[in-house]
Amino acid sequence: MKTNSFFDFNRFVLFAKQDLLLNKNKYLLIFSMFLLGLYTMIVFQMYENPYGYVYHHEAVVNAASEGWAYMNLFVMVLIGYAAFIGISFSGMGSKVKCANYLTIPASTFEKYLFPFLFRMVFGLALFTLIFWVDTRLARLTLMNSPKFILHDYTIVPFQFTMLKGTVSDLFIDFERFFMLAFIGIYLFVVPLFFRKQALVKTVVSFFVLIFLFFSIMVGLSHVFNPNVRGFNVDLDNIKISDHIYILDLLSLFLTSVSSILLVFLGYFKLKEKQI
Amino acid sequence: MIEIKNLHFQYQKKQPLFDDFSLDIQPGSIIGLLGKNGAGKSTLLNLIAGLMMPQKGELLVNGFKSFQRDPNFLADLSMVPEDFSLPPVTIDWYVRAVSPLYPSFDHVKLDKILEEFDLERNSRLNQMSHGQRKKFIIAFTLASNCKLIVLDEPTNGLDIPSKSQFRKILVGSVTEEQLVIISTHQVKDIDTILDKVLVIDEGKLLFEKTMMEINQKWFFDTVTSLKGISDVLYQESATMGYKIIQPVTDGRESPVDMELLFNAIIHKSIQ
Repeated sequence: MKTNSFFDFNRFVLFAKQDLLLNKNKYLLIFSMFLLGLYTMIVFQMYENPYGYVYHHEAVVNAASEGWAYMNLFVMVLIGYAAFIGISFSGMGSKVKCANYLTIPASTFEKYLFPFLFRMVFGLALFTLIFWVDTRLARLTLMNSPKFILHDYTIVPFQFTMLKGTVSDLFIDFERFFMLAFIGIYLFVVPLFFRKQALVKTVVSFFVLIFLFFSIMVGLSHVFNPNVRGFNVDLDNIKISDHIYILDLLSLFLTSVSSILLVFLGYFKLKEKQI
Repeated sequence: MIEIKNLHFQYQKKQPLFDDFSLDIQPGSIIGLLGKNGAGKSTLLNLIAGLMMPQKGELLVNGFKSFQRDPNFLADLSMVPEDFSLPPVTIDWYVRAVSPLYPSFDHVKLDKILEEFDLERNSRLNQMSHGQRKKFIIAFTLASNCKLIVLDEPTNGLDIPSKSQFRKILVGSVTEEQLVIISTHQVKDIDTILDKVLVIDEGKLLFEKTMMEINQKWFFDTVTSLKGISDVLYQESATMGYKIIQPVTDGRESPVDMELLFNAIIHKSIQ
């Protein structure tokens, strides 16, 4: 029976099933290690520096800033998530595993879509959920500890709204979304271009790219702002609105266009992959 | 089944491995692909399996351009590579995960082959020996019932009883719609099961004959002395004298000594 060569839902489900069944132990290990590691780190951080996680009874403190330290911890989630994305095509460095992957009866699109959905979409949801669970568990662990009782500390329960910045603007939200999407897609796609040590090379090339971006920004700062000296970026004099600078616009443009371009490049790289 | 026309392929900064290479293979046979080290056997198998891209020419398998890796083409291709990697799961788990992707997969056939190879469905693949894992991959490949089965050095790592089991199982499980290509240096392991022999050297098809044609044309013998034997096409010293190839003139037949035949072809003593 001939099926659609590009995408067939039943075949996609079978492909996803075989990946999950064959790698279930690996995935479970990654998620449980992350759950435990993050829990330990949150408990340690909360215990050592409780100030950023507890309610403040003094009137001078703005209630909105309570629990601000959760934002710092969330960086750990992003690092774990980035690593999870970065190893999506880790098998491609091995000739044997690459040949295995390429000869699985599924289309290139399905072989590309599944890790994209599983690692980037489901991965984000799961890592965020793990963070939420860990913060709650850490709170339960510490709320009755002698130190917290002695100082009458009450830990603020983590809420997702705490991850939102103080500036509320759709443009800024887009900028953040595409910034994160670009980093994720870069880590997902670029390892396909390397044969050995793909993740390390990807991370190094990412920092080279960031350096180049800042170098261009420095150059533009010198063009548009004569007061700038040395390797500094200062484009604050060109504003689009109250909260939005030209730098934000440039960043949104570059990250959104590059993300879309990278997604396509990655697909064609996989399609033309040879052992 | 496999149509290769004017294929050109070369690795970067190296001489062309295949230049203007053409080949046509029909289903319903077990083919031995032989050649010296570096002759291009594995490259040809990789090209056929769509793992490498022909730089020029056309390579069609079942009507599909293999490098496009169409899922319908891949569903009818099963390969036992020389080196392989299997996940740390049980045979049963692996079969449950991967077999649904092969529409013609035959579970009864798999059970039969596993039994003959003395493999248990609940054995963990990462705890099995190299030979046992190889037997499992062969079993899985044959049970997939794919139209094209590619075996690269299938007998490497198999013990002596397993090699004869492999021959028996392979002959018993291949149908008229299937094509099996075996690439190997262990020609003695497969000489009794081949229908056709292909020999490639320096990217050229040096020899292409069916076993019937070989039997009709050449006689393989071992003699203590060459005295009085005039029509020897190729000879090699052996422990008891000489192994020789003679042209068949009187209709007599002999078992084909594949190693001797291969050496004769490589030395261009026969074509």
